[in-house]
Amino acid sequence: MKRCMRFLLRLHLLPAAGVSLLFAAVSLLLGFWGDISFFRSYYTALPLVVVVLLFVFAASFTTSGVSLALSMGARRHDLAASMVGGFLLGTIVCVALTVLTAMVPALAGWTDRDTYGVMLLLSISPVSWPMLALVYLLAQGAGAFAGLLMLGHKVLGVILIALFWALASGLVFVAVMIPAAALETPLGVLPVALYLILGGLSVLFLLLTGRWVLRAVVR
Amino acid sequence: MHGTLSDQSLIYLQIAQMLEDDILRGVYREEEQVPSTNELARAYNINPATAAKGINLLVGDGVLYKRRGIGMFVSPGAGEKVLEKRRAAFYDSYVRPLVREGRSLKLSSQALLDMVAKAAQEGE
Amino acid sequence: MMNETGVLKAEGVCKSYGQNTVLSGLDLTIQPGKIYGLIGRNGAGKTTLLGILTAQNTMDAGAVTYDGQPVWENQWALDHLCFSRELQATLVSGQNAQRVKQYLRAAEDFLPHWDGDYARRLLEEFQLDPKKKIFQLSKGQMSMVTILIALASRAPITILDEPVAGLDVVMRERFYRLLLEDYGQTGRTFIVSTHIIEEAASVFEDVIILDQGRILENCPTEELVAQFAYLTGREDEVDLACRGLQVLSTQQMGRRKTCAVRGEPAALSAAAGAGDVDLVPMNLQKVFVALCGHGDEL
Repeated sequence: MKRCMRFLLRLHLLPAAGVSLLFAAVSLLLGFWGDISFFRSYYTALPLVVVVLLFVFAASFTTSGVSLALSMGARRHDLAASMVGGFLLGTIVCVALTVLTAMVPALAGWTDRDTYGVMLLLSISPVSWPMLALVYLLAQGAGAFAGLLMLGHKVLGVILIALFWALASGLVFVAVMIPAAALETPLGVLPVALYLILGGLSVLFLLLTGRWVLRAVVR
Repeated sequence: MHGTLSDQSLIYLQIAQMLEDDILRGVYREEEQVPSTNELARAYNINPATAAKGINLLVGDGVLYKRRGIGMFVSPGAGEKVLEKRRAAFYDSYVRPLVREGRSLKLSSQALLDMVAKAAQEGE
Repeated sequence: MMNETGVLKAEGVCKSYGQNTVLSGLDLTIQPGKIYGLIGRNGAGKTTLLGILTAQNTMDAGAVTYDGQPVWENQWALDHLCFSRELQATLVSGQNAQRVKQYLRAAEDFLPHWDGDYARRLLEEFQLDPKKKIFQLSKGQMSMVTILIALASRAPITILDEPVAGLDVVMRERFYRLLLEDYGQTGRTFIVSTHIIEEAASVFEDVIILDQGRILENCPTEELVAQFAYLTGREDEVDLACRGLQVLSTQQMGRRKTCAVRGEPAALSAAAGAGDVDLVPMNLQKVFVALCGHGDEL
């Protein structure tokens, strides 16, 4: 189990979180240097960038990482369990990264903050964090599933990937805005429905991927 | 498989034969140590078990003996033992094939014997 | 010296891909501490068998055990095994997009007996660039990676699939030497699957022949080879000599007949001595062709 976690960390979590951190750092650096418009476009894109990175590395893990691990004698149960654990850990780390980055403008006293959209909301409304977490988890689950689809059913895999990329930015927006907005308007049902859908899809993708891992072979 | 080994007979037999030849030639004298199975395996790129089989064959014949913890050594009188062994095999390995070949060449027994005598004389 | 008592055993293993039966009722016992050669024709199912032995592939029926315990999903058993696969250029996506370095890191992650120093030394000796992607390597370099993983794994039972494919003769000799050196020092079990039979024959203590889904032979190499010979001469003499022996194939040129025969070594030399026939020994490669040629190749 430990070996699988170390492997997953190295192949998925570290690169995804690492590049996200780099992106966040770069965008903050742009803010400190004062080029507001440049900064804004990078900065507000952070959640989307994280989503894409989590998706892509999760896909690459199921496409090549799983079979590599199996050929070196890893147990399927350990792999599946470490994927679930690793994705959860990845979610927490990336949410923390995103939220902390969102707090910086306030701490640095930057005045343009009302144009920071999604990131601003994240910094003032903790209600949106769980939803963001679900989006990050879904990104990994969908990515993993897309990865394994690419192995057997290339067309379906491509469709899923295209679908996800098309929806990704919308998802991030919705996930962050809706719960926050719900505080002020009687939109009661929508957030709950959204939680259920995102959560349900995440679980579905994780289950399907886990099931595939448990039956995976190296020919 | 390296160097002087061929695929015309079993490797362990060739190993045994080679060691016997070496003993006859004085490459290894009585009470001297012969190469270990690992050394033989390394030298000829063969499996140590095969080398061991060749050595064990000679141990069985009393040509080599084992000194615990040190290795394999040439037995006293090994040279004689090898000669005896080869003399015993000489009839089947050399004489019989010679006669068979002679027969297929339609040489008479007398002609064969004459040839052998002539060759023996040349040798002297 | 490793002193594992583990026996790797396959019993009644069956495997089909769709309509194609690859292995049927296969039994195989691997005793520890030997170098085995696994030979078989292309498509005989060597890689499939090796995958099944190491729980990396599934079987339709049968059991694979290590020291009596099932291998499937058994970390303890898997820790004693290493299956170093043949890397291929064709698979660009998936595993072969990895860099050599990443492949080695994965080995380090999962193989409990991994010897990093040994791996580094071999990397240097083979002059492999760790930054290169696997599909960018030449076939020979891919084989060197296979060899590296296998040797540095230090696993009690180490399996190499086509380790000499694409290597020139000097490198092949180097490999046999490396293998024998390692075996001499550690006494661990090796199973080498190869097409280059005759060169490697002297390295194998035992040979395993896989043919038509079953193990045809699993016995000491020299014992097997001693049972085979060519008897050649005039056809009537040869026919006489072949009585009581198993004739595997025949070739005729005019009145000269050559038969590949099988029998006890004593019976073979008796047959040769009886009449005017020549007895020509067969090496392992020729034995293999005689057994698995399925035709009248000689």
